[in-house]
Amino acid sequence: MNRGRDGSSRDLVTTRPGAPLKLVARRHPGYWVSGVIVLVLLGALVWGFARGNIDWGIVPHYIVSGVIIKGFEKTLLIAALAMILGLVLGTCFAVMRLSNNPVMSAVAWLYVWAFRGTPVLVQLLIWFNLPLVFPSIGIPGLFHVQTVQFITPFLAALLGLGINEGAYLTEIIRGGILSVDSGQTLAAKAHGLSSRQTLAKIILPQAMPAILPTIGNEAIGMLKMSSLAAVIGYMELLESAESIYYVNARVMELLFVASFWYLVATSVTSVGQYYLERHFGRSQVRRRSLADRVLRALLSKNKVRTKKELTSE
Amino acid sequence: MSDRPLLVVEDLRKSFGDNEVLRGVSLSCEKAEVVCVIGPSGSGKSTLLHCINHLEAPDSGTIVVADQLIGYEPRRGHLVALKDRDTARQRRDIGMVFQRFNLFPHLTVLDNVTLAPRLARGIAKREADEIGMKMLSSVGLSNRRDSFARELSGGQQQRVAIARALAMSPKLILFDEPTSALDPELVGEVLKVMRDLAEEGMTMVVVTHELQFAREVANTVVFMDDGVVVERGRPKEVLLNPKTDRARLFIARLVGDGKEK
Repeated sequence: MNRGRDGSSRDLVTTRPGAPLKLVARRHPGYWVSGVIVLVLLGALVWGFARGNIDWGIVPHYIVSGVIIKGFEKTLLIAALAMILGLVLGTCFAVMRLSNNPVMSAVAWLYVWAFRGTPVLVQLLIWFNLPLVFPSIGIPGLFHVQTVQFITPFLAALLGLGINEGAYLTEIIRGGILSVDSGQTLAAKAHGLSSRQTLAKIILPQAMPAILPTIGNEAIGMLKMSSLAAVIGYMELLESAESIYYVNARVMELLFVASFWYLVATSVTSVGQYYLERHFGRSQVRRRSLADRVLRALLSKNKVRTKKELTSE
Repeated sequence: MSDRPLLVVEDLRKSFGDNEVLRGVSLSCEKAEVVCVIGPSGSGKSTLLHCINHLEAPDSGTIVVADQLIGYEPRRGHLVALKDRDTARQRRDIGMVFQRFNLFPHLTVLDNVTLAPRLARGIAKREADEIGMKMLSSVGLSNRRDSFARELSGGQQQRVAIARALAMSPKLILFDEPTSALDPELVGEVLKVMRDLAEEGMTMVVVTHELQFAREVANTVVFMDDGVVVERGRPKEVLLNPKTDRARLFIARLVGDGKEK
């Protein structure tokens, strides 16, 4: 024990010949002090809100009320559809951006530049007010509609959120594709795979582990961003909550009700993200984000099963 | 098939920017012949291989594999580049083994081997698996069918890569420094697989620094330097009695007694 050290440390050990010294962890009083301070502050915050001018009793009632639930469903619907639209656009434009064709590449660049460079709130308003520019739209001889009837709040929200998201996802997916070793493309092509097969079977599956954490974050962001659709009158969660408090003036209570459902949705999405990443990360050793590690710890019950699955696969 | 050699490269030229990597390379390889290409790094050996299966488009010159002009078709007095799909079809007959293996890390060993037969040749999964297992046992790795590349040693990965090339039943396999990225103790197992292949009559073009392998296995050794073929001939002629100073210097340096010179 303590062999191999020389000089002063050896002197230290030899002051008590024969008695083996026990190793003890150092005490950190700072840990405890700071922890207590933070807990006190947090307690004060909770106490403040509990005693404040809020009628907590009605919150559970509104959480399960029909209008709120309906709004929550619409939030989920618009977020999911906009995300899907964004993924389709993002994949297309990412591939265009990487194309050898300069026109394709430039158009993709323009798309990202325009839709990432303007606020999504402005984009939503532009889509919603499109009838001001085109009173009616259609294909001559085939069909013709009044734009006001065509551009519903739902469609405007879908286009606004989805196309904006697509611009962000273009860059994310492009980065993912570029992160795959160029030797993979060479190997795939050398074995007679076409460009499309190479992209679908070799490049994108390998890009997935790199882009999934970010796409998960984007999906969570989308759930929250969809609340902006309230300004164009789409009856999603926030708009539903507002519609109630315009009548009964329980502003904070209903904002908390909306927050509750947003938290439920984002938490569930985080868990889904964890499983998706695990699926695509099977064959790769990846660096894990903090959120990921926390989730892994929370879901550690499944860890044993994971290992079994891995070995049986 | 005609009595032309399986592979004929004629006056191949290729530049990257101002750097002319290949300055008129001609080469041929008979069926069941093993051609080893040696030469200092930067002499254009890898580029030559990449041109043969059209991973790089040459600037001029022609490549014919099994009587097929690679990458181009004659049309109205020109050679017009083939469609992506047609080039892909031509590559199915030309296997390639890379220096850094380039196995697909997201697929199991067996899927690595069966992917191209299934996608590019349209072979059903069950049949492809059968072929794949046969190829894996021929490189001694049938017990690792469900492993991923990262779980294998470099030598094992390279053997899988050879099985992957074989699964397409190619007419010709190109080896791009297949042992250069390996730890010294793993080189032997890969060379043994390649030796077996040569004995079975596979046509091979091997870019390598393994002079002993070249001497024992190659039918023809080609020495390249600075984008041209400097010497070509029987292994004994080129490796033991090089005619040019350039070849003599290179070989002497490679076997380690360059200091005596």
